[in-house]
Amino acid sequence: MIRLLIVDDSPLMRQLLTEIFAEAGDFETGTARNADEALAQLSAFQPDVVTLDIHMPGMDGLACLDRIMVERPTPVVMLSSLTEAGADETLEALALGAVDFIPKPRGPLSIEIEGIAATLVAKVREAASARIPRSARLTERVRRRAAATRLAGGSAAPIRPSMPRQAATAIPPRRRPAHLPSHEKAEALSGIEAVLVGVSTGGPSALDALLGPLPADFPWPIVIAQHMPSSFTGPLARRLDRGCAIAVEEVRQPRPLRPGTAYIGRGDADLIFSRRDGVPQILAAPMRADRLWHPSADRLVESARALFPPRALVAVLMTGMGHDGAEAMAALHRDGGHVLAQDEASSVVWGMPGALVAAGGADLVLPLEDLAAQLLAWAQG
Amino acid sequence: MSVVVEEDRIILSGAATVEDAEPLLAALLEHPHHRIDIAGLARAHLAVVQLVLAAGRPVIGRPESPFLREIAFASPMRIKV
Amino acid sequence: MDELLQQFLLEGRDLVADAHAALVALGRDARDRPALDRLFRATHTLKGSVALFDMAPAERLLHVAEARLEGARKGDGALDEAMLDLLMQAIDQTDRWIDAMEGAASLDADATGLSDRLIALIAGDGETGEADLPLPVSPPVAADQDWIAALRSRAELAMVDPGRARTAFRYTPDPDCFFRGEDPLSMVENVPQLLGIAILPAGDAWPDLAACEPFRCMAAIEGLSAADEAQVRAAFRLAPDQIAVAPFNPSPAASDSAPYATELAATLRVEAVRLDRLADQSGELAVAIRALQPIAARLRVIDPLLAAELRAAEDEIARVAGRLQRSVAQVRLVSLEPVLRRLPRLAREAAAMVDKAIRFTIEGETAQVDKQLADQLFEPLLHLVRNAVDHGLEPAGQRVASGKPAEGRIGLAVRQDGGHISIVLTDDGRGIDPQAMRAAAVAKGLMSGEAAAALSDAEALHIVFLPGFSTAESATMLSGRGVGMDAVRAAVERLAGTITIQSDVGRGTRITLRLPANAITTPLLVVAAGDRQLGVRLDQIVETARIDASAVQPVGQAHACILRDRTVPVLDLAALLGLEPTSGALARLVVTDAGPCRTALRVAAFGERFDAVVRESTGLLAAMPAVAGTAMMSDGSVLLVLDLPELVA
Repeated sequence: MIRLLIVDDSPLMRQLLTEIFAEAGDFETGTARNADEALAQLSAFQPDVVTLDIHMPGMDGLACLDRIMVERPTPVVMLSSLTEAGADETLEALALGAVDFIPKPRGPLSIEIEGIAATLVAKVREAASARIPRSARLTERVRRRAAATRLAGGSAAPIRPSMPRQAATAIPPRRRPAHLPSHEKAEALSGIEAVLVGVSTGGPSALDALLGPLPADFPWPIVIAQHMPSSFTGPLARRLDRGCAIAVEEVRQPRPLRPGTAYIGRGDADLIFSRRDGVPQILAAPMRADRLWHPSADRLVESARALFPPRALVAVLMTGMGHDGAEAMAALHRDGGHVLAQDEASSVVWGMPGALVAAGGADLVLPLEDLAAQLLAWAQG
Repeated sequence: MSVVVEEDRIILSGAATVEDAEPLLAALLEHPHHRIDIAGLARAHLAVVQLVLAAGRPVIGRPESPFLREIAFASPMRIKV
Repeated sequence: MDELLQQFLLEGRDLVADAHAALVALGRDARDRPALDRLFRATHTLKGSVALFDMAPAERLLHVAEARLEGARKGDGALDEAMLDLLMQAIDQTDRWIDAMEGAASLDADATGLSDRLIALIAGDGETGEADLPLPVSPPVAADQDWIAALRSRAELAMVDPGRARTAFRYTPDPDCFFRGEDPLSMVENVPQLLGIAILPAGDAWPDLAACEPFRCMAAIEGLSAADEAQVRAAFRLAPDQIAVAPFNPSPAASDSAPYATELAATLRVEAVRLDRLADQSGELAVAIRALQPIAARLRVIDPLLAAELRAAEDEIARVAGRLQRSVAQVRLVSLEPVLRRLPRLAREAAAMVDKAIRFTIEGETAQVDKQLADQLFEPLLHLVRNAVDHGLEPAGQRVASGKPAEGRIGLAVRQDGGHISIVLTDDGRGIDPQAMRAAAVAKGLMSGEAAAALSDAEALHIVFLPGFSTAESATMLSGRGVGMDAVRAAVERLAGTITIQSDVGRGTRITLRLPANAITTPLLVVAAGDRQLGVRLDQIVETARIDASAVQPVGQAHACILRDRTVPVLDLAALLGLEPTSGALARLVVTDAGPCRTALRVAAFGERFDAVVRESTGLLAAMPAVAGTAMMSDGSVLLVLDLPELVA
């Protein structure tokens, strides 16, 4: 049994979630009405995983999350509303160490809940065995908090939602000088058209670590399939763009590929390559029903291969549940493309990269911190 | 479905899904004087139909589907070659 | 999922109350940050909750309200009075929609319009907050006539037989709809009896191919169908905000004929007024049937057989009329809940104004009563609740000092027993001191010292209902408002109800309202006083008695008799009305509890009992004391119905 603590101030939502997880059969649920109860339940109920609402009276969800990460680090899944404001808060929560988020159930109950219940359960089940992302570890968080406090005028106030949102984004993400993995002195690759990235659970922090160290003159376009709802990808791109030297933009309209730019496909859609007047471009396409996850990394890689030879492509498969991207990237590897997989220890969920490694599809399996260095090594020799 | 480019025409056949809009648009841009042959078209997503209409080119062939023949493409099909 | 709806009804209303309290606090101090946060959270959670049900207009409205509040929290400008008022309207509207979900399980047809209007006001200068929830794409309905006129001249539709076309539509799909997996064309294909369509550029013209995005919908679809408007609309039920549908007439001249009735629903909405009229008329029918009785009586002399047939027919008609009346009464039965449920919110609001904290509990609010009763009960109850908050409950400090919880308790309990409901309002405040009431009444010149002293403690409490009496030590914003307790009593009595007070000094007060649950027709007893026939409400009569006239004994200036071991004052009805006092060896008594104590009215004779619609007296009669209203007798004459409470007071 997975011990799940549901933290929500709405009895309606608690009841709904309790019912959904009771239905799943392998959950034992406890509930908390506010942050204080949640913190008390950490030791009393000893949850394997927590679902946490952001807006609660008293201590809010972000502050509560912050405390959970200090007092008893536990995988936390945020319950988010699918709005822009919700996206910002959720991304902040992911930066603070939440493993994942699930959309707040909505839509006429009888019709829509059945459809999303499966997703909720799968995500929470997966999260229960996830690792807490590294960026959430104590030092990082203390540093964030200190910075936030500094910006707030030196008061030792705990993190509050209105303030750290600006504060945290104003702080450049942790930059380690990109250095090469000691065991490998890579040769520079030439003729690369694009770097293709597939990432899911744990993605926002992982992307921060991947894109943060890259210089503005990074020579290749980077095209990213990050599994996310449509309203989240815009805020994610803006957030990354503020913290990274390279440009990061969301793909809503067709975009010609430019070096030194990372493209994040809009959520709830796929991301494909096409050619206009001989110029390669990237555009969002309606989701294809035969894929489970969107934007689909498999479809992204396949559509790139319709335009470019395998040798002209670099692919990176990062933390995430499921196996999206593994098949197409393994095929790319077989045909001579360059493929990196994030290693298990640094992944929140080692589903996608694990599947790629299992298929023997990765040139290198690297910790999160070394992925950017490897790209730079390939780019610069 | 498939978008096939022949010597003087772009042939649409089978069930045209939303995905087919991209290859169709690419073909239309690449071959600005090709006509559009819809004789073999069984179904068509609006994404495809709107491109055919926006292209403003002669449409040839009579699809079997009465909806396509008499309703969706009723107007462009009257622009006879 | 019914349980979730129940949960939602409870929680939604709590959140509404919460938002209200926060709005009141913000009204006092717009910079009250905790109140702003509280309002934001309540709105946010409420939005999340309504999203679980078929309440899209509510969700959109709350979404915009939330965005506005989020802006205020980020310091994008404080909320001015006008905005607070709009937010209050949004919350109130949501409250009404919650009622609607409970009643009809769906929102009214005008919900979208209401929502859009408030959204426009709250969002202000075209700024609609975030556009990531499906905000209404301004439907092309405004330009109704325009698109229909254009449609008539579409070449694509030229071959449609105009004689067959009954409905025209214009469908402007959301440009992003392909990404949601929609195919507008297949939706159009499913329009019943489709005659023809025109696929048009949504803008003025098709863009250059080079500028086209393959997955962006740039088309609008117009069409004609031989089906009726409702059927066409049904085909577009998934995109109601992107569709305009209108009846299509071959000639433009006739195109402004009345629109078709909209879709049939399992629930029929009827104006309350029409229902009232139906109830009145069914009551009148029952009365009118009685006119047959005297006819049958006269007929019996001439033709007994025919008279018997008439009687049988009359019985049958009366039975059917009775059933009709009961059905109408059933239709008019509504839950008291929507009325009562507003009280906690208003009570909290009132408490916030005088810096008191309260806990309000309601039980039994689902009791079903006649609509008339439900409608008219709100005002008096609100006044009683406000009184309890304002005068009944002590300030928190005083409460704590006397060992009570700082939070005042107010409870409202509704019980239904048979044809009556009783509503009991309790508070755990300071109670009413009968001695103080007596003193106040004398000081205000409402009664003499002796009269006051003669009152029992229980009776003294009822002084509060005397016109012009108020126990307020200081005028507050609340007590300055609306009616006094005398008006409350009058209102309750108009509903054929009674109101009583009990109090325990220092412990609290209990006010009990007892009302007939079904107020459409009133059972009446006809009595005679002098040469007049008068009606007395049966529900105000404890019993009728015939006693030896000598058993009515003078007691001082009044009379009394012993009934069931109790001394009961006896009043002569004729004398009360200024007529010749009743005489005779037999005293016929109508015993009532309508006054402050049990009282017997001596009448000349008992007449028939019957049910009638008692109309409130108007015009001249309204000025007559002791007349509650009129009812129609079986012979068509008008019967004055006595206002017993006033008569015996």
